[in-house]
Amino acid sequence: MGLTRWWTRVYTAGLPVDLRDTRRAEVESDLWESVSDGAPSRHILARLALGIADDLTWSLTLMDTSTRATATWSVGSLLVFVLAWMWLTLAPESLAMRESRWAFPAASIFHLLGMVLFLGMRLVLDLRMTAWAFGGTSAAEMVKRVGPWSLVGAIVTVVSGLALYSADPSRMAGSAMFQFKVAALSAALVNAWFFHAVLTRRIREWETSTATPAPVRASAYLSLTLWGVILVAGRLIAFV
Amino acid sequence: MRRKAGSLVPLELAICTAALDLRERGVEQFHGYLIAKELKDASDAKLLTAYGTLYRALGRLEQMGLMASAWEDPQIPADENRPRRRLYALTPDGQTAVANAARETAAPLATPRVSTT
Repeated sequence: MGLTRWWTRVYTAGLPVDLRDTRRAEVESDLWESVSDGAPSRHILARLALGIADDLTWSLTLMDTSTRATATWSVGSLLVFVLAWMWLTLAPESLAMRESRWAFPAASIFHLLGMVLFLGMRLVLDLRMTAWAFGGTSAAEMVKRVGPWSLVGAIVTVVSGLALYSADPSRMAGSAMFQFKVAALSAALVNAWFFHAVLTRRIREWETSTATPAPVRASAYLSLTLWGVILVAGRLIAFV
Repeated sequence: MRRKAGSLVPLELAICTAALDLRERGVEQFHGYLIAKELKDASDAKLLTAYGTLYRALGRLEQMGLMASAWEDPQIPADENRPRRRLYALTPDGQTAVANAARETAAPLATPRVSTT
């Protein structure tokens, strides 16, 4: 029952309030009727599991456009993250990366260019969100303009980073500094997701204000710290 | 797959038919769990229809005007110490849809043309 309630809360979270409350109340009533009718827990669980696809498609159909976009890219990012993680744990050593004269330097250059683009954009965004700079630009406008460029930077960085990793996976995986970098990267990605998916949902209410809400400022400070840590950890992998 | 305009998918038709059966037994309004039980009994299935599938189908039927719903008076669940029920009822259009579907099912197949030459 708890699982059914939790799942109902999850897939209705991005819906308009009336739809959300209606579905939650309806499932709650159904659960109560099931239990008072003596339905076994495994049947309740099966009803939940078999309806998940319908729950998700229903929810995606009724979400407002921005929530749907957020949900879509959140799931997409999670998928990319899982695939990247699998690559890190399963990647075989790439002979091309080790033996080609140009592959490793090219990947290093792209990694650096990607980082400059991504971190540069992220810095601008975080400075606006901490209210240290760019107060004259609307926060929503800043997110809109910076977002696509930082995404391009992130993709270039991640792809080139995975290529660099494949040159010597066993040594990299065993490096404490690399492990630290990956942990910080995971935290930074979760923070970035939280900022875009949750904190900017009411951006219209404070977009022109230089004093951004406290959770937004906290997320921006955390972002600045974590990306700084990741940058330094990345440089130190070769030395520590 | 797009459905033909005005046609019902099997689950929607089953819900409307079960609602009609309930009406014939004197039950005008029903909640989700009750209709799920009716569907299970009618099809001899082992499990009740999944939450997502059932409520999505009920929502579609309501949008099509074949089903109407209303939340019960809050005093009733308060007195009975249970969550409030959303009660559904088959509309006249819903009843017509069931009758049409029954007619289509019962209609004999077109007689094959036989060449006489």
